[in-house]
Amino acid sequence: MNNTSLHWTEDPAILEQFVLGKISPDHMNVLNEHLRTCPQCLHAVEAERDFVRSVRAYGRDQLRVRLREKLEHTPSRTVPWPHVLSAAAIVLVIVGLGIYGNWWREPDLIQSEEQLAGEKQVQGPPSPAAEQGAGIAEKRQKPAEGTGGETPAGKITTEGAKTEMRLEDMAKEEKEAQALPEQPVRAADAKEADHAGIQEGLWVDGTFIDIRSRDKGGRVVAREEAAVPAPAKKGEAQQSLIAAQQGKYLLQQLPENLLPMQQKQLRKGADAVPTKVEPTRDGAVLTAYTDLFDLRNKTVQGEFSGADSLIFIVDGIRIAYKLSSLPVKQ
Amino acid sequence: MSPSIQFFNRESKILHLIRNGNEEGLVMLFEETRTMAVTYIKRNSGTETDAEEVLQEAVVILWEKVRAGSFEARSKLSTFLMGVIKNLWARRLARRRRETPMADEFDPPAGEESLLDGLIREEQVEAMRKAMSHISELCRKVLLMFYWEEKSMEEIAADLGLANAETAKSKKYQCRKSLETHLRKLIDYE
Repeated sequence: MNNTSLHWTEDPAILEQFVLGKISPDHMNVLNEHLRTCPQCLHAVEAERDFVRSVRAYGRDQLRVRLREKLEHTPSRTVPWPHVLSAAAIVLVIVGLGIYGNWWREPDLIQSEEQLAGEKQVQGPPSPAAEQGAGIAEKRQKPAEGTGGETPAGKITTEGAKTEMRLEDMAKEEKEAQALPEQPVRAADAKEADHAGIQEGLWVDGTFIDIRSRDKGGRVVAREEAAVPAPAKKGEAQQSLIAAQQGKYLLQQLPENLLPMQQKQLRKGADAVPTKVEPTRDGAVLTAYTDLFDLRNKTVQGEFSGADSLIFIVDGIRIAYKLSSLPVKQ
Repeated sequence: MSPSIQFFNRESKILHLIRNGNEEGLVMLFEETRTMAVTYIKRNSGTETDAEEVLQEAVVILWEKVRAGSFEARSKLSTFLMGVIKNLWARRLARRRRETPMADEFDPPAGEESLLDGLIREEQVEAMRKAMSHISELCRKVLLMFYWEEKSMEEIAADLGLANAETAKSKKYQCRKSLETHLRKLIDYE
């Protein structure tokens, strides 16, 4: 460009490149030099700058309009406070109703109770004493559930103090029930109830194994040989063991005097520990009615031994259950 | 079929979208920075509406920088945006103070646009908006890509499906002439 000294702004391409800053620095210096002495060219540059500035302003304006439109159609991620408070209130009401209505009880337990009720209807009206005893047994489930962190997952935990009070109340009710004139339970009924109970996994008998003995110095020690369960049959037991080992079995304890009347009459011997089985999603909770030990509202997890035994060890005492008598996780 | 792209984080996804001219990237950025911007502007004598306006300006500035290839990702996008927002808000506050001038505050500080210049600029932008509405969609795109996004003729041809750079250059010339004609009409009419 030789005529830069002669109004270079008359070339629209150079004017455009100058305003857009697309000219090399050396060339830019030459053009700027001319602008200092040429008001006409300076005016042309200013006009071109205004044009470019206006086009850019228009572009930004349009982008802002489109952005606003998009934002109007995009749900805001910030939730207004009144909505948050409303949601919190709804949650509180639901939780409150849930606690009041006992919605979070173990579904398996509810099913078991329904099964029990069904069985009662099939077996005909029970004696008043038996009915009251069964009622107490059902109520007894609730304090057992309220043992804080020791209870199996999914159960409601209630306050420890209330549990104590309920236990006392139930013991009182039990005494009152015992005071009622007992009606003889027919042997056939007892046998039927026993069979139904075991078949449904509701009541089983644990076998008491005392592995304590005294050494020469008179101290109490465990007898190791007693810890080994009797060898089991192969075959069908093996299958249930595999299934059972994937489950979780917990033992809790209640005093023997709280054993329902009906179960007291069905008791098989001194070594048999009447135990209520409450199936859970991944195994079962066993409640042993015994004074042989005191778990003090705690639970013990069972171990599988041999091919068909579930054993709980408490203070050197072992209680064994036959796997075939327990509900096995499907 | 284009390969799917995995992003290390949301920020790189936003940058990728903006680089490719996808305005969804701006929406994502706006939403992510909104709370911070509102908090800052409210603490500095502004309102939620002020904050949204300033944030919109800031994301448009970021868009321009990214599209022009002059954005250097040295910090987080939100940090960059907050820096822009603080500058823009300081200018707005200064302008507001000038709009209710005291005797010794009438002249704008050095480098700041005077009220008169501002009014002239607004008139120019309004005239441009009207003139742009009279030209074709293709012409608007060509002119915006060339003058605003500063794309080369080759890029414009490729983006708009024109035969080649020469065709794009010719189209740009025609469009500019058409726009200038409408601008002149508007100025003469007013």
